[in-house]
Amino acid sequence: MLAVESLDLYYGDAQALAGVSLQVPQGEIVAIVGANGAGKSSLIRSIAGIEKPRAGGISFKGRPIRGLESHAICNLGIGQVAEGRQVFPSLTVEENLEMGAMLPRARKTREQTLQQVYGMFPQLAERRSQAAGTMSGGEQQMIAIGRCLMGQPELVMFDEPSLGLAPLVVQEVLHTIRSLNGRGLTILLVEQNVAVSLKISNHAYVLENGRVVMSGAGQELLHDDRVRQAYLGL
Amino acid sequence: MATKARQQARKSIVIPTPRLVEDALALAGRYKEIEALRRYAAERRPLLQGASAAFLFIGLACGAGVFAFLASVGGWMTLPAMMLAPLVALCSLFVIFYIFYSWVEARALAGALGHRTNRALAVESWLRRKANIDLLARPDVPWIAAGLLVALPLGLLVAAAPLVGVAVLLLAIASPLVYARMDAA
Repeated sequence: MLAVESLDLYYGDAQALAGVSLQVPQGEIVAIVGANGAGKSSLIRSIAGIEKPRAGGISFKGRPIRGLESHAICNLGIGQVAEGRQVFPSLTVEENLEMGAMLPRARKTREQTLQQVYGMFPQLAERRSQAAGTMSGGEQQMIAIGRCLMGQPELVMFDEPSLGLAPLVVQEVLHTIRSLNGRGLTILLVEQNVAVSLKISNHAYVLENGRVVMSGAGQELLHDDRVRQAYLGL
Repeated sequence: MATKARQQARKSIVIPTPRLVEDALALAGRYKEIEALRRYAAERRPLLQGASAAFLFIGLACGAGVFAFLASVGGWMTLPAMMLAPLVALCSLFVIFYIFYSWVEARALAGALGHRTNRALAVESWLRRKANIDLLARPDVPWIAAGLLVALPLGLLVAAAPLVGVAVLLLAIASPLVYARMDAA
């Protein structure tokens, strides 16, 4: 569904991504793991059209998307749940969700999608009139996920969804990611929490200093000695 | 309920605490990460640059106001004034840009949602009717920080150099109005 080929990204003279290639097959959860500064967020920001790579190719459902504007990429069906949730604190839950349905592909079915999101997150339906800024980190993450779903994506990219959340809430978020995948959405998960992301992913890539240094099935990497030593402290 | 909840959320940025810095960082994060907001700002880049230049000037004038006032008190205050002025200018710029960009965000949200996110004041309605200036939304103003770091230095500037001070005050009032008028056009 999504293919990245030999992607190079620079910030000034500093190379953030060096020849990164990966495949995200339809209906799978693919994880990108690595330490802080490895280039994980740069990679999904490049896919989303926010960063402009210097070389390489990105295609979505066979269509080249490198160089497209970020709104055009969103409108093709690539959604992103940004790091830090980024909800609008002064807007209500419902207004935050509505903000996700501004894309042309999502406008017509806005009401129907909203009901689907409420069906998936009943706690948001109960608190639809509450200001998002007054909700907990976990609830804000649900709003961020709901807002992304309002754009009717086929592929959802999660950037550090567990960041700043309590362990129990992290489990809830991971359960949501699994459930979205169960509903047919393809997931690209970027996460510093290596153990949990490898557990739920079908396939994973390990990034180090902007390069893919290892890849394989999530469970396989979870039992790899190098991964256990470098990322799990075992 | 929504209005009450909004007021609760806003209370957190009325008082200048490290929370204001957190809120400013969160605001910057939303401009960086949220596609709709990023595009809204990109479409208005020249207008935002023009307004930012005006607010940069006003922030620097705040620092100059503190310097001019303290230096006019006596020669012995010149050194402290020289040390304090850049700090005041920096803090003023932080507060001014926070207020301006939170207002731009609120305008973007009001436009996208197709309704105001707060009730229009009489002066706002008058501006809309008489001058075709629709402010659309109000910014989240950290009142104490704005009072100490913007209003007070501007007041000192007016006291030390009345003509320049009044001109800067007029610029501060006119900038958002011109922005709103040109944004509508």
